[in-house]
Amino acid sequence: MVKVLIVDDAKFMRTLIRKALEEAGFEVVGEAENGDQAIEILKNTDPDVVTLDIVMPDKNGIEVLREMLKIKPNLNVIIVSAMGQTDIITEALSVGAKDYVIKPFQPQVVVDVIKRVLGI
Amino acid sequence: MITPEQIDAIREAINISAGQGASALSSLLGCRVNMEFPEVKIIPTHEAKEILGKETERFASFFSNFENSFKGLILAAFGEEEKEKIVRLIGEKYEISIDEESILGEISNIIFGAFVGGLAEFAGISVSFTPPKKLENLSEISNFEDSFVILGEVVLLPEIDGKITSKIITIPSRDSIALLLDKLRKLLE
Repeated sequence: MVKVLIVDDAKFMRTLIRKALEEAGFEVVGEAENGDQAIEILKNTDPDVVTLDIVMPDKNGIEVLREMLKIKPNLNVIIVSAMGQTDIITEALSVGAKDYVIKPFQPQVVVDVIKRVLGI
Repeated sequence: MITPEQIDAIREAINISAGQGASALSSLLGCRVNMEFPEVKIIPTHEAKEILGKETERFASFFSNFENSFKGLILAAFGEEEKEKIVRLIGEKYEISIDEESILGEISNIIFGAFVGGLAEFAGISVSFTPPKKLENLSEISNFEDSFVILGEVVLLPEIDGKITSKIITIPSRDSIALLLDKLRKLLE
């Protein structure tokens, strides 16, 4: 079963993503509402994929992405953010995100992107 | 009574809407526009008036009213220095020379349009807005019907000659908040 860690400051968005993933048969191994929490959960679980928001309190998603990839260089991180600017998407992908979903989105889109990234 | 979960959902709606606004501003200015974490607070009406009053004293502000099923206020506030940089940049980029008020009014129009588009798409709410108007007097925007309001505030940070700030402030009506929460709740069903 595909294991996913959801990182978003908004509980509402985490719930929406979790619902879509669980309906698709994925296992959500954790939810984090900020970068530090996400790093802790990442160290203690072994997710196949992380969905990561950008605008969060304290650390932004790009900083968190860098930290995550230092810990697990091959981690599949998909950015899920309201920030749809080309410049920001390019930076996230160049840092090492595997894909980018712009909010608002249909929940199925996140599932489709994860499947595409994992090649399943 | 608004619960913390409902505030969280409202904040996310504002985050998504303002993110669209930031993207639109980025396209217009041709530079990256970062965004701070949105603040959402439930405050007494007199406090909302004080906040709006401070913003309007310090900034050039443009406002619109939401229309259709979603009602309330949205305001874009530009600082003095930011205002000059943005106007100069637009003039240079598009090789035009028009008055500051027209430029900032149109920028507000584009930000509000993107904000409303994001809100409509995210929550499935029919919403439009009146043409942006330069705020001359606080009384134009402070006739709140309720004793408490929900105020959402986002700082946008266009990267022009270093980071500069502009703000979006929104105060949806109580009925509109109820409508938004109902639509968002249905998304989770």
